[in-house]
Amino acid sequence: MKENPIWSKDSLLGNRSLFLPMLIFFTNLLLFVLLFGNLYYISLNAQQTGEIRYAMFNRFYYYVGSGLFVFLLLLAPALSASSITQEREQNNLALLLCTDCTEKTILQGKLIAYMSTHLTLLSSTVPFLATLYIYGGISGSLVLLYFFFYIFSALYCTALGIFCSCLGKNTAYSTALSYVLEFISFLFVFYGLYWCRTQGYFFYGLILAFLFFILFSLSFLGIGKKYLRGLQTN
Amino acid sequence: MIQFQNVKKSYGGIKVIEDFSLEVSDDQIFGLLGLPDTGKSTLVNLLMGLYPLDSGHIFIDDMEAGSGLRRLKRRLGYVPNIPGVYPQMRVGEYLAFFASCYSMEESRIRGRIRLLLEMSGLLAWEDSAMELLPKAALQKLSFVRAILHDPKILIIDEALAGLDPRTLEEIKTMLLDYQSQGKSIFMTGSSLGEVSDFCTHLGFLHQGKMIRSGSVSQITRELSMQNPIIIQVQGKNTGLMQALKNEPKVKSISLRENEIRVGFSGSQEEEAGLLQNIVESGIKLYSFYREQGSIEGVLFQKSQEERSLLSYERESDME
Repeated sequence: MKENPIWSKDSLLGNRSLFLPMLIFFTNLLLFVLLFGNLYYISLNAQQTGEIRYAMFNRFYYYVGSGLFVFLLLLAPALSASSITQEREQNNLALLLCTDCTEKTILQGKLIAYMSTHLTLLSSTVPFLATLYIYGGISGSLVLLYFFFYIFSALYCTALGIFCSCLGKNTAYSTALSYVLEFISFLFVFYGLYWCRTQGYFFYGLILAFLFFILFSLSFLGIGKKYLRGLQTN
Repeated sequence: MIQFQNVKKSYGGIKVIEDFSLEVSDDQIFGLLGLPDTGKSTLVNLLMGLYPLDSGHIFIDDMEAGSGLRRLKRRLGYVPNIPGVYPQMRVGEYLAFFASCYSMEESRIRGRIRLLLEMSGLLAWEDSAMELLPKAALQKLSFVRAILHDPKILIIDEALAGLDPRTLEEIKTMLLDYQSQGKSIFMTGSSLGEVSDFCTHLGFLHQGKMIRSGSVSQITRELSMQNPIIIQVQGKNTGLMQALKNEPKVKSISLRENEIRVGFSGSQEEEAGLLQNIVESGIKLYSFYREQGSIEGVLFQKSQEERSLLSYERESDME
């Protein structure tokens, strides 16, 4: 199967910059602070009270997991919202559309490129996430669930960013639009999960959330394909 | 062959292209000229299939433009007005990227890139980042990228504007060499001087319509025939003025510094006859030529015709 040239190009240019190494560094630094800060607090508490409250280790899951997830929500639109607008601003989009690259090829290449960044970031945090399993009293299936939720959320946020980039006239506009839509949609998702949990249907709520992420990602890319050439041409 | 058939395009109610028709045969270098904002770039975008048509058809070798067919896209090479840039990418990588976008065979890419870079004088820049390239080199690179996949038709959208004379000559040599291989070139521009010395055919676009088209020799002759003859004499010009007044085809005579500008409505043979008469009457002249035509002249004349028509209509309304 022929490699997507857009993905190859973005990977080549991405590897040239310090952005990904710095991103990995700061993400892991954040998780380090959260994890070992919490460990330090537990040991301090044990020194003062003379007892080790093992239930406090559960906090790891919430702090580390939610910290990483919030980081994803802040990062994903900023990465992908410039995907198409930057090609437009650099006068390359028209050139690409004149080649064998179709709208689908371009969007696929962008999606794969940004998802690689997210997966690389997630992979780099595996040692920290592993501590949730070792120290946090969390089952392996919950850690795995977290992984999948992260990946599907990253897919959704990336597709949303690309969609906003197709609509936007410039990078600033598309970035702002993607943050707003992301905030609204995750508010909806988390409220839905909370409601399902209170009703005792948390598992089904999760399945619905995954379906929501997949369907809307595909829809965003499908609609974005239509608007790739710019609104003034329609 | 490129065929525009009754093409129309509007943006938000504003007609940009209005009933445009044109045929460009194989092996031609066609220059489409027009003042800024007359729809030249829109036509190019329609031809490349980047914008949808409102009505009409555009055919390229019997394939409809914008159909998305790969064999159609591979027949076209596109040079935009502003070259596309990936600042951090090296020149060789940039060309290899576009070669892969055109699905060129891996084995051919390297050799083709080196050949074209050598031809265009850019070989020394092969490993340099694009952000380091001067404007002239970037524009040449844009041409190299456009012919990388050896297209049959090259579409150039005002890419020669603003270039220094040396780079312009180098690019023109490249284009003439390219055309000699049996390729066609369709280009747009705003200045006759940019294109007239190497185009085979010209067309003039005004307010979305083609107002004049034909071969270069035909067009420049037509333009020139409308322009005055410039005559410069040694000594006093009294004898010349008398000789000119006796000529029936002389419509106007005016003096500008040491030049005599003569409005002459005769044919080329009659013009030669006028020159012969002046020389035989003993007048010593050292300059006798037709003022060069310009695109502004063609379009100014068109605007004047429209203004006359408009004022006639207003007068009729008032009556």
